[in-house]
Amino acid sequence: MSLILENISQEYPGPGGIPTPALDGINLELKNARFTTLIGPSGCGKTTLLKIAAGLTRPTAGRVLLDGEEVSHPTPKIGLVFQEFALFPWRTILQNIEFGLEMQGVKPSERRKQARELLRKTELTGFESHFPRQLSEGMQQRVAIARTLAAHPRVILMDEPFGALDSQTRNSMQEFLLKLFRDEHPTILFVTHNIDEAVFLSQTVIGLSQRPGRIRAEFSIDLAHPRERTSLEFNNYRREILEFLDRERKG
Amino acid sequence: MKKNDNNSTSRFLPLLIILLLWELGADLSLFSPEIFPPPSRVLKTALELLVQGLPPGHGLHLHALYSLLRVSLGFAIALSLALPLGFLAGWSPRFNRALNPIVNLIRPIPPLAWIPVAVIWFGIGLKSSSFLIALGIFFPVLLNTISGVREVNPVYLDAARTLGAGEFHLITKVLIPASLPMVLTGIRVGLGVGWMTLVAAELTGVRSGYGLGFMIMTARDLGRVDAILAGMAVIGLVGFLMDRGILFLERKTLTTS
Repeated sequence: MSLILENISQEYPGPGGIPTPALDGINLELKNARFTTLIGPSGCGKTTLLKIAAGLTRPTAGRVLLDGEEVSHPTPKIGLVFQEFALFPWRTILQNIEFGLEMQGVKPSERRKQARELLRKTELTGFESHFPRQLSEGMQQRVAIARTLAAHPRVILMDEPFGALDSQTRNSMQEFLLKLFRDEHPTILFVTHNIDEAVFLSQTVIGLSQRPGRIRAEFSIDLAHPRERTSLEFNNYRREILEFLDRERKG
Repeated sequence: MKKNDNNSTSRFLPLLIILLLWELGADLSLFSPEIFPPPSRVLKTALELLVQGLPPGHGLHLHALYSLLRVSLGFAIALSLALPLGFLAGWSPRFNRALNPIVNLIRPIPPLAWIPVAVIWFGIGLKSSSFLIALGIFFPVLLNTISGVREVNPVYLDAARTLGAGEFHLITKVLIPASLPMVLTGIRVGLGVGWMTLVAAELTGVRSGYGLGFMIMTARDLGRVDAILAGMAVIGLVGFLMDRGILFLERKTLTTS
C-alpha cells in the first residue's frame, strides 16, 4: 500500500474574485502500516488536505496516487472518519457498519457476519439494534471507525476524530485506536491540533504551517508503546512540537 | 397509565365545556334549534343520515367514502409528481433554478381559483375534483421535499461516498431516508390543504351524487342546518384522523432519525 500526495495545492475563490490559497505544494507519502499525524495551527487546511486525499475534493493542482493510480473520486479503498461521526441516524448500529459492504454488493448474511465481528472488535456487542443517538459520543465514534473498517480500506484518514469528545473519553479512545492499530496494522493518516494526542499515537508527526498550509517539519516519535504521557521523553516531544507550532503561529 | 388518562381528559375538557354550553343554550331557547341546532341534535341527525341518507338512500358513510376516494386519487397524483420533482430539484441546483419561477408563479393561485377551468377542462366529476385536490396537495409536498433534500447534512453524503456509494445509492440510501421526516411534514400539510380543497370542489357539484360537500349543499337547499352541521362534523373528524395518521408516521420516522 502506498498513498502519495503529489504537489497538492488548493485555492478558494476569495473576496473580490482573488483566489485565496489554502494549501501550497504538499508532498507526502504514507508508508504502509504506519501511523502518521498531521498537526498544524487551526485553519491551516488540514481538513481540506484530508478531503483531497479521500477524493472528495479535487485539488487546484497536484494529484493523489493510491498504489500508483490517481484518485479522482471517493473510493472505499480510502476510508475517512469524521470529527462529527457522520453516522446515519436512520440506520441501526449494525446497519451503519454494514453500509460499505452493502455498497459493494456483499450478500446480507455475509455482511452481517463481518459487521458482528467488527462490533466485537470495537467493544460494541449488544448494541446492534440501537440507533446512533442512543449511544454515547465515544461509542458513536467507535461505530464510525467500525463502519470505515468494514469497507476494507487500504488507508484510513481520520479528521480530528476525537476532537468533539471530553478529555477522558478522548484518552480512552486513543488507547482503543492504538489497540486497533496494533491488532490490524492499518495505515492511518490522522489529523489533530492536540499535541498530546499526536505524540501519544503517532510514529510520525507532520507539522503544517499557517494558511496556506505547507509542510514545515517532520517529527519521528521513537517511543515504545504504551507511552507514558507524563514521562520526560514524552514531554520533550511535546515541547518540540509546541515550539514549532508557536513559531508557525508567530509567522 | 393513570397520569396519561388524566392528561387526555384535561385535553378534551375545554371542548366538552363548549359543547355543553352550546347544548345548554339550545335548551334555554337562547337560539332557535332550527338555525343553530344543539350537538345532541346534530349527533342524532348524523346517525339518521347513516341509515336514511340525504338525498334518501345516499348514506353519510357513502358520502364520506366518495370524498375519501377523491382525496386518495388526488393525493396519489400529487405525490407521484411532487416527490420525484422535489427530489430532483433538491438534488440539482440547476433544475431547481429552472423550476423556481414556474412554481412561484402558480403557487399563489389558490386551488379554488382553479375550479372554473377545472370544470371546463375535465367536466364535473371525479376528474376535476381530483385535479383540484392534487393541486392543493402538490405544492406543500414539493416545497418540503426540496428543502428536505437540500438540508440533508452534506457530511452524510461525504461519508456514503467514501464508503463506496454511487449516485444511485446516494439518492436511495442517503438522500431519501435523510429527508423523510421533512417530506412527511409536507405530506401532512398537503393532505390538510387537499381535504379542504375537496369539500370546496364538491360544493360546486358532483356527478355521482355522493360526497360530503355535495351532501352539505343538498342540506342547504332543504334548509336542514342539522344535516349541514353533521356533514361539517364528519369533515372535521375525517381530516383530524388523517392528520393523526400521518403524524404517527412522522413520529415513527423521527424516533429513528
